[in-house]
This record gives sequence, structure tokens and C-alpha cells, in this order.
Amino acid sequence: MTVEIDGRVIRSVDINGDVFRKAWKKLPIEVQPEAMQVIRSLLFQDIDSIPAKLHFHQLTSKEVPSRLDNKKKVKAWSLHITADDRYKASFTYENGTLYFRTCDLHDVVDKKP
Amino acid sequence: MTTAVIALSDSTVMELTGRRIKRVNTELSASHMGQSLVVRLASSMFESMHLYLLGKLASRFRDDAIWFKGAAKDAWDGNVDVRASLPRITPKLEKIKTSLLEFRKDLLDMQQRKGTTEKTKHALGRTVAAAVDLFDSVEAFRWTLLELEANYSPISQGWVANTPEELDQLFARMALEE
Repeated sequence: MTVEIDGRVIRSVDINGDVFRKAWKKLPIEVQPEAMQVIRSLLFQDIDSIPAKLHFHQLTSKEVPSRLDNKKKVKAWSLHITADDRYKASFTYENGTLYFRTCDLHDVVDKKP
Repeated sequence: MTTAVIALSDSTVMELTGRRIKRVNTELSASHMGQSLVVRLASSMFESMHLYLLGKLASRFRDDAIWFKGAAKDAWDGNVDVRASLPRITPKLEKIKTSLLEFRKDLLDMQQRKGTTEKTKHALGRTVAAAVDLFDSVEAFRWTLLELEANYSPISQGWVANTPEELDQLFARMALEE
């Protein structure tokens, strides 16, 4: 049996970026398993149907080098990799692959203390 | 009208950032001294001075926030290679953020203190808002630097997963990577 997967489905995850892997290793050890599960959950998901709690979205103001052709620019994306929204990762989405760029703390102050 | 285009280098961005960080730290240190002086004097006679100091501080924070937003845009537009400076500048940005959070807490405590007038509470609230805006700008600037670093990331091979199981293996391998 074959299954058609259209262009909006995440088919692979690429962490070839040295900066991403270096940043990942700096994440607190207790954060990594949860972040890993979040990234794992993205495989075979339609990018238009990612749960809202992950804050999976394009960064409208940032265009970055394409991983497929570094002379071209593409939109960057980001998502929250922990449920408490304290950590996020950025990536590009090209031809069904998430190319992870970096990850780190996403520090936000409670505006209504 | 001609527009001067200044090519930003990593060293320029970091030099300017370092100077702005020093300025913010000086503002925060001076505000602590000012606040404790006013608390010691503890009289509504000095409220107008207190309000003046708070207003000035809020204005400086707003100025600093605008600076960091502009610096982030300029660094991004110039695609500045920040890899050499990032390890030095990041701890300084974190220190400002910590100081701003402490300062915010102090001001919020002051707002709740018995005897604080409504006028002072409003002024404290505006200063807190300016401090929070500055915090957000510093954090956005920090993330701009992280994204710039990612723009220049070396790309290895062999780190692609097409199934959840392959991804598990990649993360396990990453934990062992030097």
C-alpha cells in the first residue's frame, strides 16, 4: 500500500547545522527529553495542523540562507520546544524537511505580575 | 538626499553593544542608590523628586530599548558575523536581564508598600513597563545574534532523520558528540 504525502507534510528532520547541535548540548539536561519529544512529534505532521501550543510559525521579519541553495533566502520559522514556552528553536522548512538552525531560552517577562 | 551606508562589522556591533550595556548597568546602579535614598528620607516632601527620578529612568530605559531594537535590525540587515564576539557579549546581556528583573521586583514591591501615593504608584508602573520593554528588546537582540550565528553555521553530514526512531538515534549520538 502506498500513501501520498503532499508538500506540506514534514518528512524529515535535519540537524546537520553545527550551531544547532552546539546549542542543543547547552540546553539544561532536564529540558532535552521534553524538547526531543516535541521535535519527534513533528514528523509526518502537516505544517498547517501543528498544535497551537507549540507556537509553530513563520518569522515574518527574518529571511535566512536556504539550506538547499545558500545563495537564496527563505523564511525562518520557530517553535516552542517545551510546554512552559521557556525554550524555542528556529529552523527553515524546505521540501518537507525541517532544517534546524538554533535553540535556546526564550525569556519572557510576565506583563501582569 | 544621500544615505550613508555603514558596513557593520562584528567588532563595531559588539563595541557599541558593550557601551550600551555599560550605560544600562550604570542607570540601574544609580536607580538603586536613588530609591534607597528616597526610602530613607521617607517623606512626601520628596515625592516630586522621586517622581522626577522615576520619569527620567523610564525615559532612559525607553531610549535603551529603542537602541537595542535598532542595533538588532542593523546587525541583521548587515548579516554581521557575530561568532567571535557572541561568547563575550551573551553573559553581559544575561546580566542586564537579571538586573532588570530584580529592579522590576523592587519597584513592584514599592508599589504595594503602605503609604505609597497613587501618583507614585502610577510612576512606578510606568517605570516598570519601560524596564520590561527594555528587557524584551535585550532578549530580542540576543536572539538576533543567535540567528546571525546560525546563518554562518558550518553544515555537517549524517544528521538527518526520516522516522522517529532515526531521530532518537540522532539525539543519542549527539549526546556522545564532542
